[in-house]
Amino acid sequence: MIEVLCDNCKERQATIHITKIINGQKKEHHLCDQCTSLDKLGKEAFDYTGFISDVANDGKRNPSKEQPGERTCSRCGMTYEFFRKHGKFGCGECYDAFEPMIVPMIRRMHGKDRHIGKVIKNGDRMFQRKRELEVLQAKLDEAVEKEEYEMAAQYRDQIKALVSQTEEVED
Amino acid sequence: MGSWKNEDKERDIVISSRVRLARNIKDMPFPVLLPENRARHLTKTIEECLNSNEGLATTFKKFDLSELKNNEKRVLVEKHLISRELGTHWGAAVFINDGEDLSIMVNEEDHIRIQCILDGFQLYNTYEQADKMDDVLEGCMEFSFHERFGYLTSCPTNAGTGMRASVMLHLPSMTLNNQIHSMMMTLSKFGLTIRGIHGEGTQALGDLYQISNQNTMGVTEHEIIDTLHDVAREIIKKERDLRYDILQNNRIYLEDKIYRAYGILSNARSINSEESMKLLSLVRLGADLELLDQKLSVINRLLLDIQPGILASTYGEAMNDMERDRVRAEHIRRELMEKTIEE
Ligand SMILES: [Zn+2]
Ligand SMILES: [Zn+2]
Repeated sequence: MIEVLCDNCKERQATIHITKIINGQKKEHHLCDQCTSLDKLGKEAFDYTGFISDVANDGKRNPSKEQPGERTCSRCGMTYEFFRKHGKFGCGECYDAFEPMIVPMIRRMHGKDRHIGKVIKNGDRMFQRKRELEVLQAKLDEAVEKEEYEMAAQYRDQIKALVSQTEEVED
Repeated sequence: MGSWKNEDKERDIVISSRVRLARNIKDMPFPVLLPENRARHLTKTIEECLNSNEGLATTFKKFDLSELKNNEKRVLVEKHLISRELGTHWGAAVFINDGEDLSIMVNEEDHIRIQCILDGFQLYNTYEQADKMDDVLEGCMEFSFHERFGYLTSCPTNAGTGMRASVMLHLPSMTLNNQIHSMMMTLSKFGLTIRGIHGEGTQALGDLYQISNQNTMGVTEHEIIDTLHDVAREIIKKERDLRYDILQNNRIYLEDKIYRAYGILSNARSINSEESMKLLSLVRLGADLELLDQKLSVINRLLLDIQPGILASTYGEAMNDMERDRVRAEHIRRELMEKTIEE
């Protein structure tokens, strides 16, 4: 196997090779262990494997082959078919289980698909953190995409800081 | 409460204001899948929460739906304190406060439905009270809440704020002028809907209509209230303008309708609820235009009291339809006369 240097640090040997195909154009990324060690942050903060497969899939998250009708809420056992017939969910988790299908429906009903009203106590702080994380993650994705690895490293550090901060609060 | 505006109590047109909040408990199946013991436990938790809260300025009475007689349930429905659907799931109950303006339905379609209903145009007050009750209950239990979808409800039509706000309006002139349908179109642009009270579909009995928000997601509670409030105010203005318009241009037509209605109500010996609603609407209009010496509050009260369930609870429950129509006619005559003599 040919030795390839890491695209980011251009020092160490690349161990991860990502091939992306965008509009028929093949693009290759080579990264070393050090530059991809985002998983040090822990799985909750950053799903590393998901990240890699996302990049490989050209940004498409969780490509699903299952039919909508077969979907079932793992919490309460409600099937999507049953929900479609009766218009009622079995539990709160059904919203997550059927999210891809219900978003267009909710949009038709309400014109919007995001709650902006009152939140439960502590909800604000909790969700604000989560949202910040999402934003940083998106920036990180974009930086990697554009091969701006120094920026990516900065975002990674910010994510790291936010996660440890959150853990302190929860302790 | 900076943004809270003062509301005139436009009681000539607004009968009542109502706010309902739907809430569910985290990690608990919705009532349709909730086993009986857990449903009963939930009722107990809420009862303890209400009893232990010292900040509550009001006390609640609990009604277990499985223990209510049919007519007792009917009365609560007619007073708008519970929905017709309450009682179809295990462990259904309702907590009603002393003033009968706050109620908490348990195990209806959702685990909890907080409702505040007040006379007249008091939307901001109703929201404030319902919101306070929401905070009290949240102090005792954890609600099911989703970052994107807000308060999670059995039916996604209620998700987000879980809030339904409404005003009940008396719109006889707009009905006479066939303006309800075109208003319906306008309302939908604001995310509001209108439906008749006690009528089939949109056909309103007693020219009473309920206007409420259709959307519960992507808008804040305050925006919902503001929109409903402002649109209701426009409708009130329109109804009022029309009343005086008809009075100026078709006075005889209007007077004739109103005095005939009064004539029938003050002389009838048997009358069903449908006809009484229709005629009382005209008498109410006559009272507002000062053609009749009647108090709006008396007529509002009558609109409630002539319903079959409330009538039965006042005059004895073992009545057949014929007896009930006779008792109703008598009740209306007495109420209309008494007030005239009083003044
Ligand atoms: Zn490297
Ligand atoms: Zn479920």
